[in-house]
Amino acid sequence: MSVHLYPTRDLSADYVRAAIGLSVTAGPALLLQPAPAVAAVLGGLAVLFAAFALRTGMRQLTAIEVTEDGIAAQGPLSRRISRDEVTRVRLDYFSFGRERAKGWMQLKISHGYRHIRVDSTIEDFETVAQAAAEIARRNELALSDTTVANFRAMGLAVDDPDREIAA
Amino acid sequence: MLRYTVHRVLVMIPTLLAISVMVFVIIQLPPGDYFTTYLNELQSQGETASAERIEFLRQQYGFDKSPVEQYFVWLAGLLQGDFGYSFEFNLPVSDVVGDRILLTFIVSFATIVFTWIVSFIIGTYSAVYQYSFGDYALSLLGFIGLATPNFLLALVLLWIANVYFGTSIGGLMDPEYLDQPWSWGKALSVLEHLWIPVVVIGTSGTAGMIRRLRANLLDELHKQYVVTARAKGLHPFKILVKYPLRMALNPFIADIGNLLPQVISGAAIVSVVLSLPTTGPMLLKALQSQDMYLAGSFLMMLAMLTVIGTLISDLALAALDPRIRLGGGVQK
Repeated sequence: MSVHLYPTRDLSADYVRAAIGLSVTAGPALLLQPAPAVAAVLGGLAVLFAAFALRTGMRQLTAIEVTEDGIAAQGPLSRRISRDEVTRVRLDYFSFGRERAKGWMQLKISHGYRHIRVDSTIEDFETVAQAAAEIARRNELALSDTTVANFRAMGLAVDDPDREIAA
Repeated sequence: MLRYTVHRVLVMIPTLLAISVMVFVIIQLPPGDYFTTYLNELQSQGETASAERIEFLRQQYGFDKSPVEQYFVWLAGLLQGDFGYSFEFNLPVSDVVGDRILLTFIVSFATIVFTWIVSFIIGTYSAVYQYSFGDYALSLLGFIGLATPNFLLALVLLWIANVYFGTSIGGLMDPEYLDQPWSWGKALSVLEHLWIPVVVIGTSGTAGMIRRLRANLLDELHKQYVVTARAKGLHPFKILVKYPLRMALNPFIADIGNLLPQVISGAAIVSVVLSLPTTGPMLLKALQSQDMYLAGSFLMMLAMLTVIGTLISDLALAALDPRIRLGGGVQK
């Protein structure tokens, strides 16, 4: 079994981002009496940053466990998905700029409407990704070509070359 | 995706602030201010204006304050919906602008939709039926569109619309609806006049987009997975729609950010030729006369549209193709 936590350094950076975002959106919205349309935009953005701060807080309290049985998120919103239950695995890559350099990955493991999302900023992400790749292979899941390409970029094989690739 | 959205919005905020500083600096760059220009104009016409009155007006509108102070007052005003005062028109900027921003948005939006629909259909057809008569004919049409100056096309279409459809020359609505509140009649009149500027502004962008989509789709169609799918007997339409078309659409979406400023700046000249009540001609006039609040508000709004367009394009692209590129490093 392995337990993975989000490093404090990355969480702090996300808290700072949320705080900056909230101060530049909610600040003017509360202090400057903006026009209704501007207030609506600033309010919407403030909600976005507040949601991000809340999610960062949840992540701080959450540990991802990879066991022989499956993958679990232990924390305020605990979820466990056993290996046999996994119906979908998705690995996305997000980055800025046209060059797509310096990005991060997000792994989503699903069973119906139950999801566990793990960002590559977590400690030892490779182990979690490897477990997800093994599950995908063992359960013969149809993976999107994006997910396959991203796993391959990490050096993880997830499919037979002849197997059909799904959307 | 939430983290990406937050990062992207956070990048957008300093971008907008930097643009606002640049806009303010640019409109302040010419020597003197609106009142100096106004005084020179009067003197060139042999008229005079009292220096005391000019000084009084300068103080009243805060022109005696430091540029930094003027910038922050202007910025706070923008957030509060107060775009300042137009000296040229002697009215608040929001009253001068009136429907122009809305009409500019309608023309730009319709142009982008036109560009996408036309180039999607033609680009896909040209790639699938490469080297057919249709491909050659449509490519020729695309090149003609790319090569024809917008103002020339505008004049030709104005004549055709007037002679064959009885549409009034110039403008974006019939003269009786000018400066009238919005009504069904006015909206229908705008729709009746809209196709000319949309075709004129959209043609050059459409031609470029067709070429790009055709080239991208051809690249995809020649890949091994398409050959394999064909060999396995998959229906040609399913092969096309399932992967190649989706992959070829990426640059299409990435282009939203580039398309918006192109459409808006392209619309400025066409608006003069077609006498459109959009932002272009008024912005030009405001810049010439150093009507700083009017020009600054226009430039800021156009810049905001562009930044928002780029944001939408980036978010759509991240959602459509969250794939790592070789050479891009994953951040830990």
